[in-house]
Amino acid sequence: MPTFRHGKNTVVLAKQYNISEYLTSVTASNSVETPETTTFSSSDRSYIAGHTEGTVSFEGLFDGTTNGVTVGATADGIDKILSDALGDSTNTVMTVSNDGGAFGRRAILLDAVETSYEVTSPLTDVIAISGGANANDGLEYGVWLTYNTAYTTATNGTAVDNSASSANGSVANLHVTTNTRSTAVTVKVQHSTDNSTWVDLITFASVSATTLTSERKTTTGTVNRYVRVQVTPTAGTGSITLSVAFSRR
Amino acid sequence: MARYRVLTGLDYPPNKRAEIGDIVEDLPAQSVKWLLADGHIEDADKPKKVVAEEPAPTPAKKAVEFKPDAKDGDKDGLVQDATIHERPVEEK
Repeated sequence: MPTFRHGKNTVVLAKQYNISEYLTSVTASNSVETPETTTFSSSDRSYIAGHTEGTVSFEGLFDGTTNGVTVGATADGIDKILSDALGDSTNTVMTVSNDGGAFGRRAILLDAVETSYEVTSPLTDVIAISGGANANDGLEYGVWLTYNTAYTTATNGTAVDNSASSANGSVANLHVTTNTRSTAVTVKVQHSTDNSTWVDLITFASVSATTLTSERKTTTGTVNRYVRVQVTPTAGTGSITLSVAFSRR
Repeated sequence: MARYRVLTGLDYPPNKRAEIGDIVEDLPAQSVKWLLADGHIEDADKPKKVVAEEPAPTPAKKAVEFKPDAKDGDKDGLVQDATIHERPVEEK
């Protein structure tokens, strides 16, 4: 029996922002160029797989709130976030989950280079935004190791079982969307063969007190069968809310 | 009891943590095999693998003009030292 999902639970994280609440539509597309290799004496056309290309396009509703400018604002709205990202030399760590934001749900990871951003003002409707991005290195399909979870103490996440190890490395996206910690926090992805002893696979840069951030890290080589996230706040107060998506290559 | 040197930071039951360089002897028996195979630990009682240092590269000799009447200024028995034309002093 298939398990269908409603689109309302789709989540989109870009850098340290959860921009889901601004968007009404998101499309993640992956394709591969297939140069033709048909030659004389062939009866059928033949092709060979070439480069893959991933893109994301989105539509949503305009919010011009600007932190530090708009009175009472504590965070930027979608217009500031997306207009800043356009042309930015630093790519955007982006994770899209049509499957919804929850542990183990499918997630699409990308190192996004924003290619367009439009704001449309209709005479009789809500101001809308739309845009798109190319995926540097393509789209990577993985799962959430943790989604929008608040941590106050050292925590080992639940293991994701891939049923076998893989040999081609991995990629992980970290999004820290809320942070009131008074001290730094270490976030790692660990892997294991036996779901008992865990070895560090990815260690993200230490997240400083109250800092909102995002980071994308890759590995090469073996990734063992089980994978989990480990969050370790140093002694202090407050909480940190973060999401980590992980994909094997 | 076997002792192992940790090469990759790891957590193991019950709630223990070992950092790179630590020597541990209480790793779960079922984990030791794959940790060794994957290179995350090594036998601490065996000497560390010493990587032989490569010999320092010989500095390239300078390409200069040949001087038939070069003098041995530093009295080391050679003329045009450290050049492509370095040679013993000719006895006259």
